[in-house]
Amino acid sequence: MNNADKKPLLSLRNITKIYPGGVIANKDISLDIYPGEILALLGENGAGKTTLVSIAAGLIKPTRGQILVKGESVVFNSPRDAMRKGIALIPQNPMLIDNFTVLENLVLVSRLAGKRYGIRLAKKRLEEIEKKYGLFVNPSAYVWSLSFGERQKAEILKALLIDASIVLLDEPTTHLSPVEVDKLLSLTRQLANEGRGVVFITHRLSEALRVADRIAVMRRGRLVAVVSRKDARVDQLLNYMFGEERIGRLTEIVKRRRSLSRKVSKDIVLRVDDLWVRGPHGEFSVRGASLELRGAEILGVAGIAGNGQREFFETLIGIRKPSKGMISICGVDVTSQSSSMRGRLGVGIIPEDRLGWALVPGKSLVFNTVLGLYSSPKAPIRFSIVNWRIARKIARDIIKSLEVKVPGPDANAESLSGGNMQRFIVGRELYKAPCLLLAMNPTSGLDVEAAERIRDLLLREAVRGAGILLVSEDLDELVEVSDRIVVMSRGRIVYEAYRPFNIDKIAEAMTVS
Amino acid sequence: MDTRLRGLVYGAIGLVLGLLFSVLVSVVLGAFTSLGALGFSKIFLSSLLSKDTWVSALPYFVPIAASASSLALAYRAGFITIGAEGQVMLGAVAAYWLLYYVIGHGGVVAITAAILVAGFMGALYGGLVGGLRVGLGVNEILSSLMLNYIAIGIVNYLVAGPWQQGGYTRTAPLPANMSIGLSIAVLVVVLVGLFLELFIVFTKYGVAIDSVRLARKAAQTYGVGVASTIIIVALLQGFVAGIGGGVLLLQLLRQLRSVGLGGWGYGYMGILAAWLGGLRPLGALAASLLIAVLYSMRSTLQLYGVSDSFVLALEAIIVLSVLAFTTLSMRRGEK
Repeated sequence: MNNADKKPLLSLRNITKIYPGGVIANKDISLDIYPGEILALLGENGAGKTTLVSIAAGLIKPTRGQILVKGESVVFNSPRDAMRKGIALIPQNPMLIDNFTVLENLVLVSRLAGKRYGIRLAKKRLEEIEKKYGLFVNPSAYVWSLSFGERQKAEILKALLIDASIVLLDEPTTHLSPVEVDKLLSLTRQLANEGRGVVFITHRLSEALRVADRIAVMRRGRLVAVVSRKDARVDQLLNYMFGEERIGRLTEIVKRRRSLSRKVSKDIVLRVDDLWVRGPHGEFSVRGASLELRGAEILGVAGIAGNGQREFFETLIGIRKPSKGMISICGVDVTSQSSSMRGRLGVGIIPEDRLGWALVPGKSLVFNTVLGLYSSPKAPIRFSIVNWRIARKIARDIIKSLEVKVPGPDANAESLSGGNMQRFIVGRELYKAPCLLLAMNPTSGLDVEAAERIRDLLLREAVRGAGILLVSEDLDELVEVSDRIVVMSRGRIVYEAYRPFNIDKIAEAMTVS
Repeated sequence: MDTRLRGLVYGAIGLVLGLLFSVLVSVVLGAFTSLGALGFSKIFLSSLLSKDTWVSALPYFVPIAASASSLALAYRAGFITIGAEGQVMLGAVAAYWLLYYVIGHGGVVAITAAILVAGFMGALYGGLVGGLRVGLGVNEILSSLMLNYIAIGIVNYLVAGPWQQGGYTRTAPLPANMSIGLSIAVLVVVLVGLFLELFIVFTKYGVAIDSVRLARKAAQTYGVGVASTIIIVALLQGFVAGIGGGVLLLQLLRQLRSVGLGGWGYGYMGILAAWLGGLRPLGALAASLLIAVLYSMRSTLQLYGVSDSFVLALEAIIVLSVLAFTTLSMRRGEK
C-alpha cells in the first residue's frame, strides 16, 4: 500500500513520556497512521507500546511532543477529547462499568464522544452494526455477567458506535481463543477497508505479519523501525524487537554457560501431567501443560506475560485449583492439596510480587519469617506455639548471611528496598533447604547487581541439589541460568529447548503461536 | 525508635488528645443544657471521677468487654462480624436453660458448666456466620446482623412462651445460689481477654490471623488455611461473646426479659470498643471500661436534668474523638 499520496489521520511527532521516577516509557517517537491501513505496533513487554497508544487516546499526557489529527495539532486533556476527535482505544483489559448494562455503557461513551445517543437510538445503531459487522453482544446484559470475549466486543462496539476514524487495539488477542482471534483479525481488516486507521498492538510476530500493512517495532521506549508487510523478514523483525546486540549477547552467555552445566539428578522433584487451569475470566489459561523437573536442574519457563504462566505458577504453589491434570512433588501427588502440603514437603516459593504475596506489609521480618516457614518442618512452631526467640534468630541469620541491608529483624518489611526485600525472601526460602524451589520473575524490578545476586543464589541452590522451576519474562535471565527452557504460549507448552539454546527459536516460539 | 514502641507512643498521644478534644466539645455542648457550660462541666467531671460511677460501670463492662475482645480477634482476621449482640443473648439463654431447667441448683460446677454452655452456644452462632462466609461466600456483616434479629426473636419467644413466668414477658429470676458476684464476673472476662491476647501473640494462629487480613495471598501461598482460620476465629469469637452473655445473666440480669429490636446493645458497643482498643483484646478491655463508664454516667447526669439522648450523643463524640485522634496519631507515627 502506498501512503505517499495520502494524508495521515493521526500523526505523533517526537512523543516522549517520562514517568515520575525518571522511567522513560517513550523516547522521541514519530509515527503516522494513514486511512485504510492497519499498523501493527510490535514489541516486547515494557517496550512502551501501551504508553504510546494511551497518549494517542488521551489517557496519558506526553512529557513532550505533538499530536496531529488530520493535520490539526491537538492537545488531549482526557480520553473524551480524543474520542471527540474520532480516536477510540480498545484497551487490553476492557474498561467498562460493571454495574451498567452494555447499552448503558455505550450510551455513556456516545455522550462522552459528543454523539448524544439516547437508549433508543443507541439500540438502533447497535442493530445496524450487528447487520454490518456481525458483532453482537446482548445490550441489556450487565457487564459483570459477560465473558472476557464479550467485554472486548462491547469495547469494539464503543468504537463503532462513536464511528471512530482511528481505532487503537491494545493486545486485543491476549485472552481470546484461536477462533475468536480469527474473527477479530477479519473485523480489523473490515474496519481498515472502510477507511479507518487501525493501530494493532501485539507482541506476537505471527499476528503482526498476518494482520498488518505496516509494522512498527518498538524496543525499550524507542521506535526502532517501521517496515511494510511485504518487506518484512522474521529474523530482521526479531532483531528489531530484541536487539541484534542482545541476541548476540544472549548467544555468548549460552556458550559461556555450556561448561557450567550441573550434574542433574535422576530424581524427579516435580512432575506436571496434562494440567488444565482456568483463568480469572473462566477461560482456560493453562491448556494441557506437562513437564518434569529433576533435582539440581533449573527449568526455565519462558513466555510473554499473559500466556498462562501466572496461572500455571499459582497452580503449582497450590493457591489455584486445576480443572484437570496431575501435579506431583517429590513423589507425592499434590494435585488437590493446598499450599500447606507443599510447605510440609519442603517446597520453597518465591512469588512475583514481593510485598503482599511474599511478604506481609506492615509486619516485621521476624513475623514474615514465621509466615514463610509456617507449614515447613523447619518452622519455629511447636504444638501451635510460636517460639519468637528462635524466629528472631532465624531472621537475623538470614539478614546476616544474605547481607540484607536493614536495621534489624524487627524492621517493617515495607521499609526494605526491592533488592533487600528479595534477598530476604530468597534467604527465607533457602532456609527451608527445599527439594523444589518455585520462582516467578524473581529479579523483576531489580537493578543489574541485585538481579545478579539473586541469580547466583538460585544457581548455588541448584548446585546443592534443589530442582528449580523459574518462570520469567526475562529471556536473558532464563538463558543465563536454565539447563532447559520450555516456552509457554496461549497456555500451552509449545517448545522445549536444551542447552545450547537457540535464541532465535525460543524468541520465535514466544511470539509465534 | 523501635517500630512497636513508636506505635505505642503515638497511640497514647492520640488517646490523650482525643480525650482532651472530647472534653472541650462536651464543655461547649454543655452550654446548651439547663446547667450551662460551667455547671455541666463540673457535674460531668465529678461524675467521671466518682468511684460510684466506676463501680456501677463494671456490670456493663462485663458483656461489653467480652464482646469487644472477641470482636478484636475477628476484626484482626478481617472477619467483620457484628454478631456479638446475638451471641451474648443466646449465651445468656443457654446458661439460663442449663441452670434453671436442667441442673436446677447452684454451685461452682453448675455455674462453670452454665458459663461454658453459654460459650458453646455463642460459638455455634459465631460458627454459623463463619460457615456461611466460607462455604457460601455470604457477607458476615449481613448474616450476623440477621442472626442478631433471630436471637432477639428467640429471647422474645421464650419469655413470652415456654419460659414465661408470672404473667409478664419474662422468665423467673434465678435463685441467689445460681448467680455470681461482680468481682468473679469481671475476673472471668479479664482472663478471657488475656487468653485471647496470648492466643494472638504466641500461637501460630496469631500469625495466620494477621496474614489473612493484611496479605491474604501471602497467607495462602505459605500454607495458612484462609477458610480454616476464619472458622477458628468465628468459633472463638462466638465462644467468648457467649461467655459474656452467660456471665451477664449470672451476675446482672438473673432473668430474661423481652427485648426490643436494638437488642441489649452490649454487642454493638463491643464493636466500638474493639476498634477503639486497636484490635488488641487487652486494648479492647480498656476501651470497654471507658465505654461502660460513659454508659453508667448516663443515670447520674440524668439526675441533674441532662437528657438521655444528649448524654448518648456525648458518648458518641467522646468515642469518635478518641478513635479519630488515635488513628491520625498512629498514621503520623508510621510516616
